[in-house]
Amino acid sequence: MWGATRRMLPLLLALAMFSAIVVACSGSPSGGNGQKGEATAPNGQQTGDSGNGKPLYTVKYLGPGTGNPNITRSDQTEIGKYIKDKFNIVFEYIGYPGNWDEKLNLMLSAHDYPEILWIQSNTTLDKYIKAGAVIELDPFLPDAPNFTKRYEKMIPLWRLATDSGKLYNWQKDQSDLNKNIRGNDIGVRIDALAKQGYPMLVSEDDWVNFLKQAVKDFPTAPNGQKTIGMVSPWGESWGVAGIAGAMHEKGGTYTGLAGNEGVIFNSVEMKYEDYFLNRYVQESYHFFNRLHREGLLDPEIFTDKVAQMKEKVLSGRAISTWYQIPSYADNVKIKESGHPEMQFITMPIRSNTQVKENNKRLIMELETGTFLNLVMTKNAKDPKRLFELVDWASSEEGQTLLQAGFEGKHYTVKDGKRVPTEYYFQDVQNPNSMTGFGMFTFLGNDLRLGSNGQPYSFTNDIEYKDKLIQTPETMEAIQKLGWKTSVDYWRETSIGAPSGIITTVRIDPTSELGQLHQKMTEFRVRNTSKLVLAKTEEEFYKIQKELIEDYKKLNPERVINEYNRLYAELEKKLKR
Amino acid sequence: MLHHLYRHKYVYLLLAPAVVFVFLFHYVPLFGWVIAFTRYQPGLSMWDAEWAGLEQFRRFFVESNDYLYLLRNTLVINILIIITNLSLGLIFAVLLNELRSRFFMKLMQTVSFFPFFISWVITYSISYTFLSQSTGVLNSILVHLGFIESGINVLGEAKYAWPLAVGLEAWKSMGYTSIIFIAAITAIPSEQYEAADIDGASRFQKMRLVTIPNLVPTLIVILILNSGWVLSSNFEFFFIFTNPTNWERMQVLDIYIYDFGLKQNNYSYATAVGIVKTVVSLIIIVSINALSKRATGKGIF
Repeated sequence: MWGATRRMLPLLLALAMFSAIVVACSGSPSGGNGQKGEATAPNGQQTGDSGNGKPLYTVKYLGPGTGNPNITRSDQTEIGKYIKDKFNIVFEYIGYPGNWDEKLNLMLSAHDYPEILWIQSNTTLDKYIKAGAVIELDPFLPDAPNFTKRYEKMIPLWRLATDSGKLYNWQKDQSDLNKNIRGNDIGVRIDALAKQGYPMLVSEDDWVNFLKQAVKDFPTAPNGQKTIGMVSPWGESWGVAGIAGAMHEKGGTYTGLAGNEGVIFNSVEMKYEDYFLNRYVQESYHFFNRLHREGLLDPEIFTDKVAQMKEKVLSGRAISTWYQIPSYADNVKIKESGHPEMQFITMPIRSNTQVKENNKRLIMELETGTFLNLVMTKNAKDPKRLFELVDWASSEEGQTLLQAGFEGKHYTVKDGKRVPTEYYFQDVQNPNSMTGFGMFTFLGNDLRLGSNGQPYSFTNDIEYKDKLIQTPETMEAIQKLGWKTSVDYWRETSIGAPSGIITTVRIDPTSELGQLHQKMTEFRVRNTSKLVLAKTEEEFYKIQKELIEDYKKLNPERVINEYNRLYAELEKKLKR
Repeated sequence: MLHHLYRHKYVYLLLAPAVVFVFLFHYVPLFGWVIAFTRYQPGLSMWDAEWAGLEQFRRFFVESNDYLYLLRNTLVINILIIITNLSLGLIFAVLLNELRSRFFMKLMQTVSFFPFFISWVITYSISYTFLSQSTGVLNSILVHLGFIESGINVLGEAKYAWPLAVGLEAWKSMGYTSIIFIAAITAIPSEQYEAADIDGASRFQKMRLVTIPNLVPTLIVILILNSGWVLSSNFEFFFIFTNPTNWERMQVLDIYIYDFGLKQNNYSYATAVGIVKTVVSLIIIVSINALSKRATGKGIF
C-alpha cells in the first residue's frame, strides 16, 4: 500500500504543479475589470427588488489616482445613500495610481474595461470608439431631458469625435471665466512681500528684483539651510512639457487649450501655431535663465517632483513657486509649524513684452476638454439605468446635491441664492468627511454658473471662496496689496477664451505626423534645460539660435498645417 | 525514445510546468511580433490590422537617428554594469573567503546582500538624501569642508549619468553576485590549497594562482549569460532616474520603447524597436560565446 502511494506521489506532485500553472494562466470567469456579473448587495449576496422596484445595481468604478481610502463604496457617503435610495445604484471605487492612459490602452487591448470610464485623451477615446468598445448614447437622449438641456451646446462638439456624428461620450468639469479666473502664476511668501512693503509685482523685471532682495532679506530658512528664490516641480512628467514655457498663457493671445505638446492655439487669429517657436514661450525660458544667472532658480528644479518641491515650501526654504501654488492645506501646515508669516499667496506674472502690450489676459473656458471624456462601455450591465442616473446628475437638483450638498444641512436658500452653513465650511475642509463631495464627478460635474447665476459649488463662488482657501494671514496680505479678494487682479485684467472645438482636434499618434508631433514635444522638453541653464545672456541667445535651426529641420510646420486643416474641417462639419 | 520517455515519465512530468511556462510566456508571445509589420490598433484583432511592411523599422532607422544615442547609452551603461558587477563580486568573494572570523564573514555577506532587496523607489530616496545638490549629505559635507563651493548635481547633470547608473547598480548587486562566486570557491578542492601550502605559497599567491583561476569558468558562464541581457536595462532604475537634464546619457532602449510605444499607444512601433533589441542581443550573445570558446575553450553552447 505504502509502496503504491510512494509511486503515485511524484505523479500527483507533477499533476498538481501542472494544474496550478494551467489554472494560473487561464482567465477567471469572475475576475477582471469588465466582468458582466450579477448585481450584488453590500454583503455580497444576490439581491432582490428594492423600494423603487429595481434590483440593486453595483457598478465598479475604476479611476485614476489612489482614491479615498475611507470610501470604497458610494453608499458609505450621504450623497451615495441618496442615489441608492433613488436609483438603487451603488458604485464600488477602485483607484489606479499608475499611468491612466496606459491602463486604458491595456484594458482596451484585453477587452477588459469597467462599465463607466474616464478617458483623458481624445486619441484614446478614438481608439475605444473604433474598437466598438463604447455604447452609442443617441438612443438614450429622447429620455434624457436634463442631459440634453444642460449640454445643449456641447453635444454637437462631442459628436465631432466620430465621422458618423454619433454621440459616444459626455464630459465633466465644464468651466467658465468665473471658475478659472486666477491663473497659476507665482506663489510667494507673505513675509517677503511684507518686508518690501507689499509691492505690486507683475513683470519679469519686477520679480527678478523682488526675489534678489527677498533672498537677501531671508538668507536662511528656520532649519538653517539657504533659501531658494523660486522652486517648481519640473521633474514631474508634465513639468518641463507643461509649465516651463507657460508664459504664453499670461498674455492676450494664447491659452493652454491646445495642451502641452507641439502646438498652441492663437485665440486671436483662431489658428494653431508652434509651441517651441512661440515668442512668449521663449520669453518664459529667458525669464528662468535670468533667475538662474542671478542664483535665484532652484538648481534642482529639473529633478524635483511635487514631494521635493513641497518640502522646500513647508520648510521655509522657498521664497516663491512657479505654477504649482501651495494650497490652503500647505498654508495650514506652515502655520502649524510655528511660522504663520511664511504662508503663500498667488500673485501675477507677465513677460516684459506682455506688460508693454497690456492686452487683457485670456483665461480658458472649458466647454470641452481632451482629458474630460466619459463613456459607457459595452461591458455595462444596464446602460439604460446608468444613463438615467447621468440624466438626473445633469439636472439642477442633481448638480446642486452633488456639489453643494443637502439643503438645511450644507446650505440654506435666501433670495434664490444658496448660502453655505457653518457646517458646510467644516465639512468641506474635513478630510474624513463622509458627505461624498467629489465622489460622483464622472456622472457630470458642471463648474459653470447655475441657473440662478451662482456656481453649484461654493468653492467656486467668489463670495465664499476666500473663506475656504485663505487663512487670516494670507487674507491680510491680499488686502494690504489693495485687493478685496484673492482674484481681484485677474478679474480686472482677464477675459474668457471658450474652448470650442480647439480641444477636439487631434492627430493619430501612430501616424507619421503623429510621431513627428511627438518628436517636436520631445525636442522642446529635452532642450529646455540647455536654454534655462545658459551661463550668460549671449550664450542663451546662441543656444536659442542653434536650437531653433535644429528644430526647424524636423519640418514642424507639417504638423501645424495638419492641425489647422483638421480645425477648418471640424469647423465646417460643426456648421453642417 | 518512447521507452525512454516512459521510463522517466515522472521526471518529464515534473519538468512539464517549466516547459509550459516557457512556451506560454516566452514563445507564444513571439507571434505578437507580427504587429511590428502592421498598423495595429488596440482593441481590434491584430490579424485585421493593415499591413505596413517595414514602415516601423524605417521610422526607427531612417527617419530618425535616435538609435545612435540609444544603442550607445544602452550598450555602454550595461557593459559597464556587467564588468563592474562581476569584477566587484569576484573581488569581494575572494576577500570574504580570506576572512578568518566566520561571524564577521557572515555579517559582511548579509550587509552587502541587503541592498539587493531595496526597491529602486527607495533607492532614489536614499540617493536624493545623499546626493541632492542643495541638501544632500555628501554635498553638504564637501561644501562644509571647503572642497567645493556649491553642491554637485549628480542626479541631474548628464556627465554623471553613467557613473551614477554603474555605481548604484554595483551597490545593489555586489553582494548578490559575490554569493555565486562564494559558492564556486567552496567547490575548489582543498588539495589544491594544501599543495600550494607545501610549495610555500603565500595567501596572496594562493588567491592569485588557485582561487581566481578556479573561478574563471563561473565568470565565463555568468558573463555569457549576462551578455544576452546587455540591451535589457533595469527599467525601474531608468524610469526613476532619467530626467530632462540627463536624458542624453540616460535614455536607453527600454525607456524609449515605453515612451514612444506604450505611452503613445504605438504598439507596432514599440514592437519593432523590441525586435531590433532582440536581434542585436542575439548577435551579442553568439559573438561573446564564440570569442570565449576561441580564447578560453569554454562556452555555453
